[in-house]
Amino acid sequence: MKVPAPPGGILQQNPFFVLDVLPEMLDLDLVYLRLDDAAGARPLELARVSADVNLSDDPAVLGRLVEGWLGQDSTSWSAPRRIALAHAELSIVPLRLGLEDRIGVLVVGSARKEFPAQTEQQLAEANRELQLRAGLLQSIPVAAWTAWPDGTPDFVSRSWLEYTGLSLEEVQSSPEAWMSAVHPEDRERASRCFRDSVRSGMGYTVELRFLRAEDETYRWHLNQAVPLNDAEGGLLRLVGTATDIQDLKEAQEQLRSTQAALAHVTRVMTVGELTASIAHEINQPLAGIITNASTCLRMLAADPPNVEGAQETARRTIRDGRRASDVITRLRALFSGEELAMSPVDLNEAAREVMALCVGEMNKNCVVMQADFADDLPTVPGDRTQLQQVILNLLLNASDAMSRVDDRPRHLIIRTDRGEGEHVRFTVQDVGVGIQPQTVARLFEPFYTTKPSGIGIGLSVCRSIIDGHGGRIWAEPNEGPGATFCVLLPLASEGSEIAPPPTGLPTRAAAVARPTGRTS
Amino acid sequence: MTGTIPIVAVVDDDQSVRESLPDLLREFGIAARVYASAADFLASDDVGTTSCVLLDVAMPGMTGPEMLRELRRRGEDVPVVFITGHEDESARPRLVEEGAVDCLFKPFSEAALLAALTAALEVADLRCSGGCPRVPFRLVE
Repeated sequence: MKVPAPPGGILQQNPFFVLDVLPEMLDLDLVYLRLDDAAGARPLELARVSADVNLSDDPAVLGRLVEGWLGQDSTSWSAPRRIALAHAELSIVPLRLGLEDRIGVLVVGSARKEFPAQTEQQLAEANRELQLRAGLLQSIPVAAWTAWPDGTPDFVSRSWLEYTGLSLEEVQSSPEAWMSAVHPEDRERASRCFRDSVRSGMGYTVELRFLRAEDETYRWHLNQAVPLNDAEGGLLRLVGTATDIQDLKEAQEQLRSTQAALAHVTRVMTVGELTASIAHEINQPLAGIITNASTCLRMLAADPPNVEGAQETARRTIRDGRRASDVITRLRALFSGEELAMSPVDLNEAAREVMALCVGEMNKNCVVMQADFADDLPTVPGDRTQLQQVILNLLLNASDAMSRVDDRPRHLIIRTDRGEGEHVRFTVQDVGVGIQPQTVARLFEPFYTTKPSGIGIGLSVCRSIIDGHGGRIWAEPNEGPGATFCVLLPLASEGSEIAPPPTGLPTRAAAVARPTGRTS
Repeated sequence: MTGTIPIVAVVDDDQSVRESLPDLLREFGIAARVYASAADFLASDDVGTTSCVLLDVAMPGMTGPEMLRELRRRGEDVPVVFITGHEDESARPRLVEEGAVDCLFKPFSEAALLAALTAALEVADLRCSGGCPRVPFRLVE
């Protein structure tokens, strides 16, 4: 669809507005506007006159009067004049409008004695302000443009021209000349967005690749545009911006892979736990295999042999065997031989990073995370990655615990503060399904799980990590809905594998997780 | 073989156990019923007619030991044999102390299962000796 480009600038589209506000703004008694028509037709004349000066407010009549004062040729009007009227003395100032004065002329007048000195000052200030804004538009860190409904750019900010290496003349030479800066694969999409927007009168947001002249690489841009309409709703221009989001996109990609890596390390566990886990996971199908094999033998030994039954149990034996093999494959994938790397860890920073990694997951689950971090939190000696595993585990657990909560906001508070004694405390408070007092003690045991799909190792891994740091981890039900998981880490570096539990711990914990050592 | 056939309840969240054990039990000459969770068993009307429970220790929701305590709280003295995937001999005395007849570690042999069942069904038999008729039942070995 082609919409003819309206002639002239924005002033010509909305001259009434200017005329209505000017007299009041500048305390004027006379405003006469003459807009020249590019095609050479009769100029558009508009007038506003106050009662004080007793002049005609008919634009044509006033126009002839002004010509009498300033001369026939309006392009030569420049200097202010003082006009003696019957009841007042009127000072008038002609102002040329538009770039190269092509749009027309505005004549303003006032009977005030201080006019036009003060008004000129006001105009100068207004002009400075206008220039500042125009400069702002040129220098804001996004490219800005306006375009006619046919796609021809009207205004294009300097930043975009410099970025693409195109000149204003080039992009204005034809409706879609600017497309030469768009990646060939994106041109059809770009064109469609623009045309749809013109047709529907709705704005659009689209990601497109623009060629950066500097290094001749295509970089992703976020393009947003909105229609600019006149008072009657007719489309004047599309106004848009283009923002280089290439770095952001790359960072997001990196974040995603980091997140995947971090999600992987959350499954790392101590060798002892891994062994027990393998045993448990393998023993399940093995029980099936041995039972089925026993049944199979019995069925074959019967008189007459139950061949059909034996075949069925043999099939189940094979299936359980495959299952055992799958378990091995799965567990092997969990294995990662990372060393404990102790360094001073800023828990606020570590938690903030994990929260950033979780944002996607949390948004998906409609969980709102709120950080309540203590200022000047001292660092704790620890393995940053492992501590982040714990934090991630607790955050994801909390999110899971709220997955079926629909009657209240899924609010997650992540808090750091100085614990009692020489400790730093980290807590995660959710409003989820909560925990039963009788299960609190078992939450951190390996293979204990309340989730249908869990195998119950996440919190036990958390506990062994925190134990390894000489700290404590425990859970307690909230007074309201949900549960709070607390981690207490010592400031002093005594975090070895066999560090004794710190003394003087708070006793309010419903249950304090004890080291994983098995009872004998 | 005459008389009432004992009914054994298998309570385990693991599907392959629920599939394989009943067939073997039937080969022994025992009827079997399966339940995927403690709650399923407790909610059924079968508790009173069960001769013995083969009960998994670690299950989501109510665990085996918790179910055993619940049975005793209700005054049900049906004998219980635990089965567990955690090979931990030290757990056996604790579990037996809870009131279980025995504890089988997965994977358990046919012989171990038979021995535990025999012991459990003897208990079941004994507890009936006061009033109810003794079950003239012999396991098919």
